[in-house]
Amino acid sequence: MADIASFVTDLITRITALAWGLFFLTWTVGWMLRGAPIPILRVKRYGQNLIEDAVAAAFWLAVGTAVFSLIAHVARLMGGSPPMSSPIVSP
Amino acid sequence: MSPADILYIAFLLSVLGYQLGVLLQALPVPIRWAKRWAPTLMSDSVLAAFLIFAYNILFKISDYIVYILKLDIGASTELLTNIVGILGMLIATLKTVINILPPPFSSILSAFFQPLIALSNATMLSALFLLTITAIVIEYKYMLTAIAVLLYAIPFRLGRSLGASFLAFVIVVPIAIGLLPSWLSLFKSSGEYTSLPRLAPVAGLWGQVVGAYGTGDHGILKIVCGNLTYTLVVGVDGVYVVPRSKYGLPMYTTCLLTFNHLGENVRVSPSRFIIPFDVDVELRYPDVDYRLNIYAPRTIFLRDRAHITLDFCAIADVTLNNSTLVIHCYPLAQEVYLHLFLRPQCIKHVDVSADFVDAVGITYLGEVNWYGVDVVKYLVTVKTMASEITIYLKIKQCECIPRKPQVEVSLAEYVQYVIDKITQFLIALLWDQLKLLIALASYTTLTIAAIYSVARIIGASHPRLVIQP
Repeated sequence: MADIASFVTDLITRITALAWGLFFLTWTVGWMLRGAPIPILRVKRYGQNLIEDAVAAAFWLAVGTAVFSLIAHVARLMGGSPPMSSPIVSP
Repeated sequence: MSPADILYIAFLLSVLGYQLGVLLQALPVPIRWAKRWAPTLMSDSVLAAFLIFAYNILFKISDYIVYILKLDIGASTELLTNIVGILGMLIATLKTVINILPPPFSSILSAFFQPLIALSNATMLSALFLLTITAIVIEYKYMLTAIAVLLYAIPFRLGRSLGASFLAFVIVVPIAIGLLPSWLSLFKSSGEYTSLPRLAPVAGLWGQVVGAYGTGDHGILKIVCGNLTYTLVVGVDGVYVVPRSKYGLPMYTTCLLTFNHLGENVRVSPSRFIIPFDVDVELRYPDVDYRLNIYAPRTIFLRDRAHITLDFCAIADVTLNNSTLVIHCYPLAQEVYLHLFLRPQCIKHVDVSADFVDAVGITYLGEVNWYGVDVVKYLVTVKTMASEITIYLKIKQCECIPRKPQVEVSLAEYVQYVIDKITQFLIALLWDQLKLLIALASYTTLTIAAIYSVARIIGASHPRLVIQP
């Protein structure tokens, strides 16, 4: 059990790190494409999309813990209770 | 692994799914499916996380419905256990009965047993199936719910249909089992079975009906054994025969006996009997085992033409000399009565005289029709103070046709009766088994259909593939 849990936790940590890295990459690439001196409107628009995606992803990454806490709160309001003894692992 | 551990992993998986969603969103590559999956993954993770935290609400749903409907799962389980137990016993009993049934019954009744055993087996299997799923739900409810949530939390909806099915199973089965007694009451069995007759062996019987003089030809002999009545007309020389095959009398049963001759219920001895008798088995007739002679000690028979019954006079000797019947008897009272029952076609005239008597009176009591036979009745009153008297009856007989009473002869067919009763019982049993099987099988089907429907509502049955979000 501990193996699976630690494996998944490890996976979460890696993916979170990767996601932050990707956010920076995407944000940079987005600005790069937007600021590039190429008069192709499609490329510039794509750059804009990339920036928007990156910002949204960064937002959801940042509020991740808050989202899960909110769910726990709502569930508790409805009569549910966290069944696990282990602390909630924040992403 | 406890449900808490499983839920912990499920929670981790939902976080993983969320992070994967974010990762896909942040991907700087224009892959359309990846971008489309991102919000789906995130919302699925949120739903899974909600299920994890609302875990104890999930199995409380069914508990709540069971409570509202006032269902008793314990009673249903007991009912199912009883059904399985009874059917198991029934099958074992039937298999034993097939082996020990005596020949006249076995060939006919075994035709019922095979389908009955097959039906009972099928019914027992259905009941066992319901019992098993009930046991699984009762025993592993928490574990099943946790596994369902875990499957739900796997990213990319990989275990969603299975998880939804598990969840539906946990929710539906307790309610379905609770409703089972109401469903079975719709197929109520035909109630109490008719009580089975005793499987007594049968015996054949023959004998003669004999009076103080002569034999009671063409009298009606009625034998009542339990609720079976045998009515037969005694033949020439007072012989009656009840053959064993088909009509045999049940043994070890008290049978009552009455004899009616020319419209009078003649007192006979014995008036009741139980076969077997403490005598050797009679081998005179091929189909007869025992002999029972029936005596009418106070009656004088002139074959089927007439009979005379004496009251208050113990018969010592009776002779018939040239159409004169001489009766010696010992009076028990000062008045002795002779009841004469005559067929007017056969006996034209009777002269009564007596020795050692004070007076003799004759009263005509009328004519009756006894099952198609005309009978004239007279009462002869003899007054005497003597201790022994002799009565002379000069009878003028003429030729006449022997006439049997037109009574419906009914030889109760004991074997047939028993087979009919058992057949009725088996048919009732078979029908009840069939109804029970239909009830249980349809209920099982209904339960499965309900599980499927609930699973479909919860989110199974349309699992989305990874590449088609």
